[in-house]
Amino acid sequence: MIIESSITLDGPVKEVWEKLLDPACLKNCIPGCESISVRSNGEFEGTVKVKIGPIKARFDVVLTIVEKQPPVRLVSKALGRDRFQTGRFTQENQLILEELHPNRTRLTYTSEITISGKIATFGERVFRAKAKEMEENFLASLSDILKHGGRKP
Amino acid sequence: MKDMRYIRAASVTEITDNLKKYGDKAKILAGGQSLVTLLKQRLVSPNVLIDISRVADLNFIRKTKKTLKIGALTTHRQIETDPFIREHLPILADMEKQLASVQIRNLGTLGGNLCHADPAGDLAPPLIALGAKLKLISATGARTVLAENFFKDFFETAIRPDEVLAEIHVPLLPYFGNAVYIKHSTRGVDTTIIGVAAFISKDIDTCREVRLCVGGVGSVPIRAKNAEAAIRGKAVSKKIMAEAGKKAREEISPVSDLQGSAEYKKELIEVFIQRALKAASKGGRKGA
Repeated sequence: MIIESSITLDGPVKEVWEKLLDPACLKNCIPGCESISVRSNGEFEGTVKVKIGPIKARFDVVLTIVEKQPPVRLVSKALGRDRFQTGRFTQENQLILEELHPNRTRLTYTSEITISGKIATFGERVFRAKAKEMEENFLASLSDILKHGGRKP
Repeated sequence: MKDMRYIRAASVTEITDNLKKYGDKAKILAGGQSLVTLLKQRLVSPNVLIDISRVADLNFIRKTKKTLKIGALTTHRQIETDPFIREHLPILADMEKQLASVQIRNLGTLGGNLCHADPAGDLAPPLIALGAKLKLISATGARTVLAENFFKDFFETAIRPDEVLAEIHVPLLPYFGNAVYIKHSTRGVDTTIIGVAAFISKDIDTCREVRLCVGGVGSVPIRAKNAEAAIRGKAVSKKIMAEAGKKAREEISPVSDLQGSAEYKKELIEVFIQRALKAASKGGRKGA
């Protein structure tokens, strides 16, 4: 599944770039994120809880930065494993930042997500829609944080 | 596998008492056609399983003057084969004929289907189009919610952890009213890609009331309200139905998945809204 979208954010390119690599900001933006930290080798690790009706999954996620061209392009890979062995997902992301105005930045986002395991057999169609919803919430929170001077309202 | 307490409830009071005691630690088992699959795959593992399948008080089809009352434990097959429903609410019998396989219809219950709240479920769109209400009972009382307001998200409903769905109240069709349900799936027993229910009541040729509900294209069944507004109060013509199809296509945003792209589903919405309206406005019952 490929999710693509684009959003215009308030803030200079450099600030948006920093926010995207700031664990504290990411924790506030990723829906269901319980913890996030940076390993010594630059990888991000964290826990994300996803609930769909009666099904609850808690993914241990490791995100690796594959390519970094500050402050315009970021390619990353994520692998999430559910603690209760119900499934896993892999995700390949590409983020592109573009300066529209000294204080306006366009973020273009492409993410390819693969879901496997029991969780996928249960509801591939549901998880697709859920992933899209999570991505929309992520961008909305990020936009809020930038609008309110780096603090979550 | 973790330990699970199994309770077989013998009456409605026993169900509500146990729900009061265990709340969201408990899951209700009715026909088992959705929950058992989830239990088997260990996607769901409740501490307590309350088996309500033997509660005879929740299995009935009763007609009152203007409403058909259906107990939540009534099976799909009972609805499909009920002579009164076949004659007076044929939309429900027709829908059941298209729902899964006969083996599933023999065991699956209406209440179980609704509470599982699969967005591709076939039962919800006809009930919403007909303006049905759901009666929920808890140890402290009962309340009624419109079927339309029951569904909150994928597999999530307005039901509280201490409540059980007890009855479904379906208004009987008005004399000059008709309702139909049509759906599309790859094979008959596959997941519904789109299901459209249409209810129309008419004054001679003019549409007095209309309700359109589309299933399978969002997190919950969706009322196509802009499409309804395009028809309400107007003479039902081919042009108006085409206009309603276009409105529905614009107001609903399906997501691409293995069953089809978003664009394909939008096309299905437009076509199926028109087909459902055409069939529903063609009189049906009592030549309305």
